[in-house]
Amino acid sequence: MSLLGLFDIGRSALFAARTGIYVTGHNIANVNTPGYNRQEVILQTKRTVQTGAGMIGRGVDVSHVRRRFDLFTYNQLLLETQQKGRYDEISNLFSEIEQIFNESEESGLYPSLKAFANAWHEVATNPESIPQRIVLLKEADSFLLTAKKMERRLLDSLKNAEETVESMVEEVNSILQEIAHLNDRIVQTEAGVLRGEANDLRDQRERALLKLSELVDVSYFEDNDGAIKVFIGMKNVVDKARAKTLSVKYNVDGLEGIYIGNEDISGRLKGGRIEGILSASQDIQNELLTGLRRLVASVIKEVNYLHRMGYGLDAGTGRDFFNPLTLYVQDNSTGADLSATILDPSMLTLDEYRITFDATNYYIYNIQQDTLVASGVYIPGNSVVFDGIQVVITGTVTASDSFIVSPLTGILRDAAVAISDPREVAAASSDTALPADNSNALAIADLFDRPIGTLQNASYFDYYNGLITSVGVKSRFASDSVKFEETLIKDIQNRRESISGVSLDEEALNLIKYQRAFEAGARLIKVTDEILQTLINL
Amino acid sequence: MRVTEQIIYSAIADSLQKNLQRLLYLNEQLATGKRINKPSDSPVDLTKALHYRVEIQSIEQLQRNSDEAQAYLNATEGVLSSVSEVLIRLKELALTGVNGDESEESRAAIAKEVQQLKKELLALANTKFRERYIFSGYRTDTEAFDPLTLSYQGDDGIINVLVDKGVLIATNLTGEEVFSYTLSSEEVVQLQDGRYIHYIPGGGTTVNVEIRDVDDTTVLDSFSFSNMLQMSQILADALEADDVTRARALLRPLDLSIEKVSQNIAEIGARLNLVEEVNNRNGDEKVDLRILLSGIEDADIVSLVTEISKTEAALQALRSSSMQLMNISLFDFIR
Repeated sequence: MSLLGLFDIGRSALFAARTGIYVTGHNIANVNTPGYNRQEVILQTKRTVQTGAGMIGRGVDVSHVRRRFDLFTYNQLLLETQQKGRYDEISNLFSEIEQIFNESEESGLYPSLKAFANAWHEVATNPESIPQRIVLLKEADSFLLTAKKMERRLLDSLKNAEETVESMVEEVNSILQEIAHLNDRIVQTEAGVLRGEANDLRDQRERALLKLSELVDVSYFEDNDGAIKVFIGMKNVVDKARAKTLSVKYNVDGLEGIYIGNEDISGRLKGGRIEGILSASQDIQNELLTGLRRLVASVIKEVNYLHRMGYGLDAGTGRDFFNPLTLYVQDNSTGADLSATILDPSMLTLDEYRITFDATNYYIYNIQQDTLVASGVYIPGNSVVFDGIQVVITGTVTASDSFIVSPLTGILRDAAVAISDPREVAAASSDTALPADNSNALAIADLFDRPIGTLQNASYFDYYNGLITSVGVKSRFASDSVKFEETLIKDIQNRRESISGVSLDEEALNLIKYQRAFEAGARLIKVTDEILQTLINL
Repeated sequence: MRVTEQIIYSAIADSLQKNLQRLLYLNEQLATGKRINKPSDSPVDLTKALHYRVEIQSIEQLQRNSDEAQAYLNATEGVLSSVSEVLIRLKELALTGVNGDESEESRAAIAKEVQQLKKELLALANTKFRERYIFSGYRTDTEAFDPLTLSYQGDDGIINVLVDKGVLIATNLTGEEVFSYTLSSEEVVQLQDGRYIHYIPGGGTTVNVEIRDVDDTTVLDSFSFSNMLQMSQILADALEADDVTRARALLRPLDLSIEKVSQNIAEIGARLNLVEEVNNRNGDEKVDLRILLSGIEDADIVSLVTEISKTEAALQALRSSSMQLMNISLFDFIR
């Protein structure tokens, strides 16, 4: 044991203290860095030497710098972030939608339909008078306009949502690239190092993963070499330094889906903003958009039916009040054609139909009721009649072909009041009872207080009320869920912060601690030097 | 738990945010005066509110319908009382005319007045109210009675108006209902001189009148009419021609006509009562619904204002305590 060994001890003390101050400084500097995990110096004693007097220590070693990081809390945070992202988007979309359905006494579909109904009463009270008829036509127009405006806004919202999903998928792809890149660097940095980790790189990767899970639900696990494998919708998207890309495609029904390669994974997504938008969009499309169209279609169907039976002031009859309903065909076939016509408008269910094929047969399903309406051997050119609709399919079909026949999709685009001459409004039930016969006008006015078969036996107002309630409940549920998730995440974040966060008070203490240690180490070297001087001067 | 600055900062930011959100929410209610400003504020209450609103709208339409019905019924009632006056005057004149003391000249004078009253009756029968000939049934664009033939040219159309849920009220009487009566069976009256007058139903509202000799078989004179206008025309002509027997034969039809008109006045009165009653009931219901609606969707201003000042006070307290909390640091003491 030499006197010079004391210098080594002093030097190791200075190094340890300096590293401590360095790490403390890093912590202080990153006090506001999101996702930063505080670091600490792990010190250990140097290997001892055996002397005659027994074991004598040789100073301190800096073992490694460690992150304070709790995997369990982090994984919880990932999970809840996914849920919050999901509900955030549902809530956003529905609070936008609920503005469309925000009915006040002055505007909205509800009052305009009521005004239309009331205009029929006015015509019934003054059947021979032209002004009331003009008002009726105006009210019919404004009802359609209101519905059209609502559809426009719904479609705009859905379009926006689609675009948002596209940009989010871009973001997902760039995060996946980032994670793959970080994987690579972490593996390289940590390779050959016995202890310790690539702390700041791992922080970065965790941050990226957190950002990713806000967008889409991910699962991951870590390999032995420090790289992580990331899975989205049960598909491996990041493996070591390689990342796959997600893409947005539209399926045959025009619905947006998330694809990896050619595989649609949308159905397997359970959380994240993207899934939130997709599921809310689907709800809006299936329930609200279809519901709105169905309501208008039903008004057109019922009013036309009664109106055709009535007589105008000019004794004309058999006239539609609104442009008659038509069918919209979506052709998902390669070599076949389908034409659909309405044989009897009064038999229409206002449901949509999907027509599919196998090797020999055709099958016609009612989409809303989820029932098989008709089926049989497919013979090109033969006509099939169901629910007042006649379809004729020609050409060759394959099992992957399908058609959708809907009375709804284009209804609001095409809806218009068919009559322009107020005298043609059929208030009378007979051409011999003109001009004051109002019985048909009374029958049409009564329509708006009656249960309607094509609306599941709800009245128009009950049906529309149902739509609004559904928007309200969904919006409410989503925003409640957001609040719940926020509280949960707040709690997890506090827990994470409690473990990994930087406390400036603590760091101030550390600073003093390491400063004193440094001063003491320096003193040790000075004392050793003095002892050496004393020896030399002997 | 280990507490870091971040925890404190985010807790403060969070509480501030919550208070500010609450303040905004309360202020929105105060600004609109409504508790429900969008469907998600309370889906259930919104449904109720919409239901009440639509009920109110329905009632308002029913009240408008009632007002219309009332207008037409009032017009009809007015015409009917004039008709009644005209008929009573006709009866007076007829009675004077059949008096044996009257001279031929004075009968001619009476005939002139009867002729005038007939014109008045025709004008009343062809009354136009708001572009509508009210006694023409559904044929409201044509005069109820032809001014020359004095025959009815409307139909039996009844114009109904919905005045309450499920309650239709007829707003008109047809010309035949008002100006004709239907004889159900033959009636015979014997005059003081022994002659007979037979009133024979002639199908529809037509009444055939036969004046027979004392043997009750020889028909001395016969004529027919199917409404009061034709009847008064015959009366005028009879007095003009000094035909007292014809005039006398018309006394009974005049009585029946007067009776018919008073029946109709009673009928219209009953309808008016019903409309008014329904209208009042609907008015009451509207007020009830308004109160219910207000209870559901209107904000309670007093508690709102209290709540707002409470939130503001909390916000103020939070701000000053936050300032203190954020100002403490160990670094302040390292010199």
